[in-house]
Amino acid sequence: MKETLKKYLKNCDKRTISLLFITVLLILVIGSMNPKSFFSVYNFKSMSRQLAEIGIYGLALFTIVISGGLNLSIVAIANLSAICGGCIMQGLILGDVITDPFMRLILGILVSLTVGVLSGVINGYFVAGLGLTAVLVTSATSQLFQGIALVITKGSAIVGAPEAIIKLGSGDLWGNVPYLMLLAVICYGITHFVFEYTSYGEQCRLLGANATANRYSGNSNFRTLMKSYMLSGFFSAVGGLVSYSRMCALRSDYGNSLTSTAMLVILMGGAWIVAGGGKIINIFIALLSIQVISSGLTLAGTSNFTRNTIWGLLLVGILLLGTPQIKEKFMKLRSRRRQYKV
Amino acid sequence: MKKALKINDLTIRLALFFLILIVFACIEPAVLSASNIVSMINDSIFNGIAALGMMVIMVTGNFDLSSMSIGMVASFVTLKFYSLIGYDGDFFTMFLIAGVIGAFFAMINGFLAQKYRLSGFVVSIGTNLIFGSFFFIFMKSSYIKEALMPKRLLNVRTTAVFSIKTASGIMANINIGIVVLIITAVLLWLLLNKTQIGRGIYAIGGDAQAVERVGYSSMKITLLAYALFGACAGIAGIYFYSNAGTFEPAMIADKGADVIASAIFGGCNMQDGKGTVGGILAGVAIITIIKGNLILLGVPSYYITFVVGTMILLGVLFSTLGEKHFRKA
Amino acid sequence: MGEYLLEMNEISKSFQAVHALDHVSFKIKPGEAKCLVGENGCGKSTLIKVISGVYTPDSGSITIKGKTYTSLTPTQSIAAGIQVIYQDFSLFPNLTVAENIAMGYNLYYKNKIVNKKKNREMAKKMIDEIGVSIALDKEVGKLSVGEKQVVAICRALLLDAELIIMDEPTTALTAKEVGSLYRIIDDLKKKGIALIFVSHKLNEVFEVAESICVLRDGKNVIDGSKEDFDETKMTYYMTGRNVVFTPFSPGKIEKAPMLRIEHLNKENQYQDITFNLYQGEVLGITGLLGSGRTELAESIFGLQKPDSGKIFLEGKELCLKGSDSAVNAGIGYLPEDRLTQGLFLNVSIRKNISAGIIRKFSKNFLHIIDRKGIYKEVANQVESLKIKLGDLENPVSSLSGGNQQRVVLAKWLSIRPKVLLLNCPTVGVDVGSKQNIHETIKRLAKEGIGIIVISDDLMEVLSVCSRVLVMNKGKFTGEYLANELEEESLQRMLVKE
Repeated sequence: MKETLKKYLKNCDKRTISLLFITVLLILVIGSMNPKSFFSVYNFKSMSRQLAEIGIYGLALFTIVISGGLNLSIVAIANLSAICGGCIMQGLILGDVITDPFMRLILGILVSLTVGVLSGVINGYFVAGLGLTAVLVTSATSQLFQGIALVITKGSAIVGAPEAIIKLGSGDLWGNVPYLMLLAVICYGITHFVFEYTSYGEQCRLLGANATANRYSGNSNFRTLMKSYMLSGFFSAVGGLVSYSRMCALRSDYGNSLTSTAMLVILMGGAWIVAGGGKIINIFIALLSIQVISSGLTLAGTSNFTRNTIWGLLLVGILLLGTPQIKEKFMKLRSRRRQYKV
Repeated sequence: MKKALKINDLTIRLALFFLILIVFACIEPAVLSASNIVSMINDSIFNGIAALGMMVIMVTGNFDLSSMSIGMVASFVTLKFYSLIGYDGDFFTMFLIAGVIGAFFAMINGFLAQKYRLSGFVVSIGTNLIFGSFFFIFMKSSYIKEALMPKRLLNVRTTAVFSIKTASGIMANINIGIVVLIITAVLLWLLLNKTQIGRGIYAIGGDAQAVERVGYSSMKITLLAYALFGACAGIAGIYFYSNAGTFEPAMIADKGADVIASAIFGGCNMQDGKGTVGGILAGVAIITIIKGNLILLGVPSYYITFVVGTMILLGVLFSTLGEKHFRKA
Repeated sequence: MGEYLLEMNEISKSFQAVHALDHVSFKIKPGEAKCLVGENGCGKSTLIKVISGVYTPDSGSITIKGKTYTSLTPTQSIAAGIQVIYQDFSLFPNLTVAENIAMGYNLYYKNKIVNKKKNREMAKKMIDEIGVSIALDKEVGKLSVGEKQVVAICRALLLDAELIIMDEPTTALTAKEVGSLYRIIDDLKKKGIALIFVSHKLNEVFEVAESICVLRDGKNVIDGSKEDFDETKMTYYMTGRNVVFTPFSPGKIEKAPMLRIEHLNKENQYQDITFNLYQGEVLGITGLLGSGRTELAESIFGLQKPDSGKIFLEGKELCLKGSDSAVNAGIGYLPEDRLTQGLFLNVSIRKNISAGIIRKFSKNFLHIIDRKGIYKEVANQVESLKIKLGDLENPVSSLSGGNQQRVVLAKWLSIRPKVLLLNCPTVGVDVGSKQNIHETIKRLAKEGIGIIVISDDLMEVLSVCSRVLVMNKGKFTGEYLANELEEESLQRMLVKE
């Protein structure tokens, strides 16, 4: 048993180990500040639900970041697809045609996911097909999708959700494992599988590493990128359903801060610094860390401003840590310490 | 040759502007009424100043998301400072101070990006959060009531530089902010076209590796570009809040999309280091007449975001594809 | 002042563990035209960057016009009259010709205000002196490569350069532009400006140089006047060996062509291209830059769609939409630029080799990659091509040029190609690997793969190919059997219309 554990740890890369270390440290530090509230079943459930939401948006971002781009429209797609699905589920659209609540639910979910994928196709067409810059395109489509959502909702929020959705958001399997947590784990599992074992996943990583060389190696960049955007749209839609299940309401402008939180998770998980790199397991552990910090901040009663500032500092800090100049300074510090030890 | 060049860039934009104006006027003649024209001019002031700053950054090949939060925090610091010392001076000075503060914040972005060779865009995602919230941690409240705003600043709202009598007898006032916009545009044009360091901003957008070889200091150019960007953001920000009459951090956040739309429609091309003051003003004009007249044309307000989004997309499309097409020719 | 304009004494420069320069000395007299010659990686670029002040040497001294320095800043170098024209010219494509030319001057004299009129005057003066006609207000990005080079030279001259260094100046020039460049160099010599001409192309070296300095592996080999050298000696000095290239005689050639190209056309690139490729032969396509050879190859590989014409593989017409369809059909392409087009530098060697066969080894329902199969294939390729590496998981950037090229070759061999297009297969590769790759190419041809070698290295063409097609400005201007040609006669064919 010890041997297999040793072997496994040896194979893990440095980042996984340091991330695990940081997460455990964070749990201990933040937990110790408020042990009764932090180490409660209620808190763990609450954390895992929030974590699921951020995590799935993170996956939507991951598929694009891996291939070397950026998707600024994930939240807009999530809202739009949730609104489309939600309208059907609540009977606001096609309410006379489909009256059975179960049918409404199923159709609503299907429509939601389809809208997500179609939005991804639109993104993909402009970025993969026409070769426009991902940042500018997704910045524009973010407005576009939000605009469509506004037109559908006419500016107001849609309140109410079907029972199944509410249960998804607040219920637990066997009374202890939140459904949302399960959903997140399943999604992460699927993504891990796709990017470690499938042809698309490997081509995606190569595309991120060097798009030109990928083309010159006989792989179709268009098809790979299009799949990435469709997958991103799909996960955005799932994220939208998750948000719906937690808020029990639909708005066209929900979740503006989720994008930057998702970016932080991706950055910390190592997917951004080296394009084409990034393991799902690292992203997941980074997700845990971010969630622990977030919960810690909430328990301490800090304002949104403190949270945003810390998020921003973390983003910039992690970026700086990845640069060669800062790494060199660390190396020098390390070697100096070693000198003294000798 | 010179004529052909002109037809490609600014002329197309101006032609588009007039075309849209004429089409709108045909649908709804009130578009061309004195009061509407004046209101469109006033609406373009904020966008114009902010988009000019955006252009400088985009020309250097960078993109920055923190424009609105820089504008917001520069305004906040200026307003707090004024209320602290109880001074109610002329607003031009206030604008200047906001500009300087904005420049300072933006230069942090630029410094980090240049020194550590990071993407300015990614850094701005982080600094956007920091700038937008850092100061408020220490403040009791992040709001400033109208009663506490400097009186002279609030007067900006009502100070006119030109007045026209409309058909119904009311005076339509072109706000004094237009003077600020014109001064900003002129100063920027002089800096970018008549000073060697200003040309450096275009140079770094054309070939970032070559600037050092030819004798420029990349850091100086980057800091200057970001300073200009921040100054414009700060001035636009305080103008916005003077119009609003009160200060709340979140008010300015949604205006960012319009600014990006104006910059893209103004012909800013990040990849090639292209962008002109004239182009930006034309881009602002186009975005303003479209957005400003939609309600007049009977389009419900909740369609506006959709329209703006489509416009940015079309702008990106034409800007990138247009370059490719012209390059082939 | 002494005899020499510039003297570099015992210059050493290392980057981490790599000794780029090892006690290198170099001297040039005022007005002298000297060529700095050596294979890729011999230290030429590093030496240039030390002269221009971009790099600081670890040891040694630099003496310019009698004054000695242990290190130079770029400003000091420019002040001393040294100007470098880099391979990418360091011009700004979004600014005008006049502005680009005047920029060095303005920055050196710290002019704060832009004086458009003065810029144009200065630029016009320089352009007229060179005797070329370029519109002053045109954006540099819209100029041809030759015109850009003239702009770069003008910028250097405006600063009263006494020494101009040109780093591989003819790499991207057409034949006509090369002729113009020689004329410009003659004018510069007459003006008394010293010239360092960095190159590895021997015919150009002999055309331009009065004296030659050869570097190899970061060390001096020899320095002397032009008369002391001939081509064989040069090759020996540059490579350290007496290399004998044995020409290729194909075995049995099948009657039916493996690849048939009919009337391929692409506006501005190539016109009316028709030829056959037979199994068992190595077909060479050669021509100067701008001849359309790379564009033709990329069209056969599906990367660029031709305007008209047909491509037949084993008798069947191909409709190529993208490189993936070419690979599916069995066509492989080794690109010109190994570093940006051929390799994923930060990715492992294994994944570089398997990049082309991912789809082939995942033909199942969920597209799961058959790792075992790929590992086996990669191992086979590494063995058969004798690639020297430490660990397959190391990034491919850790390999030498020759081994990197073998990795790219391995990638293509693993798709079991029917046709292999190789574009400049041994550029930037050491001599030993060069021979090895040539032997491999001949072996593959004998095994039945149709091979086209595209190259401007005439020695290579004559020793690897059995048949040669010459391309000039998009058209084929001649077809010859390799054993009927010599390098000199082939050189003349390249410029024939």
